[in-house]
Amino acid sequence: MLSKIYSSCVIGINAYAIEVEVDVANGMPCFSVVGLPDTSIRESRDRIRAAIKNSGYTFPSNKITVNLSPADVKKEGAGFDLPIAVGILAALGVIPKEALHKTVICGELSLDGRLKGFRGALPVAISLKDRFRDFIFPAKSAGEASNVEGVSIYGAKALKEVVEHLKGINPLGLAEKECASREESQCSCERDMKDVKGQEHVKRGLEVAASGSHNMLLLGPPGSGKSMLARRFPGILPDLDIEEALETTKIYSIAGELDGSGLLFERPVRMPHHTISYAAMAGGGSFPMPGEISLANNGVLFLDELPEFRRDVLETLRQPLESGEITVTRIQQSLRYPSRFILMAAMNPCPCGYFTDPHKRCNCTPNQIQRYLSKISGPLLDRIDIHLEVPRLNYEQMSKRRSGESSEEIKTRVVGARCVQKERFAGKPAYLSYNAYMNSSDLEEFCVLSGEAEELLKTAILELGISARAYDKILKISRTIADMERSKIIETHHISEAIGYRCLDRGLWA
Amino acid sequence: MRPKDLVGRRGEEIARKFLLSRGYRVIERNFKTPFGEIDLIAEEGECTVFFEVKTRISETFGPPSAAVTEDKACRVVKNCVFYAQKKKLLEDALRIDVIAVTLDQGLRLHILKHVRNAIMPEK
Repeated sequence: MLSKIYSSCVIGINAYAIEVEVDVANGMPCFSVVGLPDTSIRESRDRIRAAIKNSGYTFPSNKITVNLSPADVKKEGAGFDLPIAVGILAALGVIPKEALHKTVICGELSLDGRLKGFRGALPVAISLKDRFRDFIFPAKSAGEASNVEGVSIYGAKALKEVVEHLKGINPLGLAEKECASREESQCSCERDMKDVKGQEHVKRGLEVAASGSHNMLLLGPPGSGKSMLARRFPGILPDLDIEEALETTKIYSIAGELDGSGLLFERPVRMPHHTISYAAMAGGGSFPMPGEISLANNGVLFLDELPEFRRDVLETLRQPLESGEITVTRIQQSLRYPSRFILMAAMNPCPCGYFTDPHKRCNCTPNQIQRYLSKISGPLLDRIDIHLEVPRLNYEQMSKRRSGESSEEIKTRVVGARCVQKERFAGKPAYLSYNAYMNSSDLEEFCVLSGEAEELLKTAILELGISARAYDKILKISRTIADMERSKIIETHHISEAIGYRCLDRGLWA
Repeated sequence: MRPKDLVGRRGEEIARKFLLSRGYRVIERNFKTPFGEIDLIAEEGECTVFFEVKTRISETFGPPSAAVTEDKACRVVKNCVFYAQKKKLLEDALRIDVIAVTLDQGLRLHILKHVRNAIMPEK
């Protein structure tokens, strides 16, 4: 009395097929699970026993051996409850074994036989769609997976429904496609750019950052609107396209943060508090889970009060900012999670915050300021393209009634600028999708300066003492600004605006 | 014989009669092993069933079935495996049940509870 079911286990962002073999034999009654199960799978024995009994079937008083193969891969998660339960019933002859060859079954059981959602339904469907045609998931998880083309996803509410479906008595319906957030995203931008008074140059800077996917740092005294502006930044970013949406949803599915909402089309925004640990930022755990930077993939990672973050947390950002992915290594395994995000950081210029303020006096000693700024290492600062000062508003600006452009208008222009880049980088290597990702050889190829512009840049370098590193950044930013104007060649005013976005290079502070 | 042994014997006797009335074929009583003893062994169709009988005269300290602790269960399993090995039954259908008997002060049957498949070896 042997049966074989296919299930799956997610490792990193990919899922692997796992064969669940169940043998029900004579002998001293016992229920053992072998094949490197973790504690949650070991505990599933008690859930399965209760669920089978409470669904109206008889739990056998036999010797039950469950094998999860391949035996050398560590399995984790409660998603094996359902396949093991179905396997036991199939071994007893309740379910015909022919029904199980082309089907992947995953799900967690509760004691009364109902199915609960499990983490990672979407990656399972994506990774196994070439090998299997049918997938049976708990109804709660089926929605997110239903967007995968070429497979049939069935959502079930209880063990009994799955059994009856496999017996052919009462077939389950296909899960309906869910992309709830597409319409919602229109109205979800409660935070609109037009609520921000003044600060036009910062809004422009945000638009440039959004267009070229540049990382950005806002500096300014307390209360000048840094956080307010940064929070409105996601509203001017274009929606995710289907591939990005699948990738982002996959990571959220693995992290168990989906809540049955279907595909995410809105760009994710993560705003970790500055007390975050490096494992929460980069991803960690003995089965490494995606961290904040991976959850911010294709979206925005907003770090308010940048110098307050722990040094090791900030340094973990360096590699992902460079390569767009993070490798989390633990003893058992080494996993790669994508982490291509726009870093949006905000900070004060000194401990008291008023160093750059023209009216309020700053009480900090140069030593204190130096120490405060040195919390952010040079290599990290290197990876931030745009540094922009956010000055305090004066009374006239504050009391102005006129509201600025809405996020929607800015977004339309950003979409346009991104299209220009997409056309230009079509057929190039995959890493090169936006201006921010150009390396120095790409810069030579794509950043063509007019004669005057070249002259201006030369003067700037000599006069302002701009480093070679900053030179590259200025070229990248000016490329984006030129793209926003649909200009093929970089002109003088593009260069001068770009220099304006490098305030930390201009030797403003010690 | 101590009074508590008397209670035990009485309970086992009641359990045996109960099993006979239910169509079990009792094959051993108080089977001794190096680790202890098996109260009753019976056959129900193809299946060999081992019985642990627990008897109490008062439920003040919980029902008799509560006295089968994890530790006790381990010893019962050990005894049963010993028997099954000796009789070469390990590949056949086996089961361990618990019969909980509550007596009144005059050692008359008050409650009898039969828990099928009560003890499962933890591998």
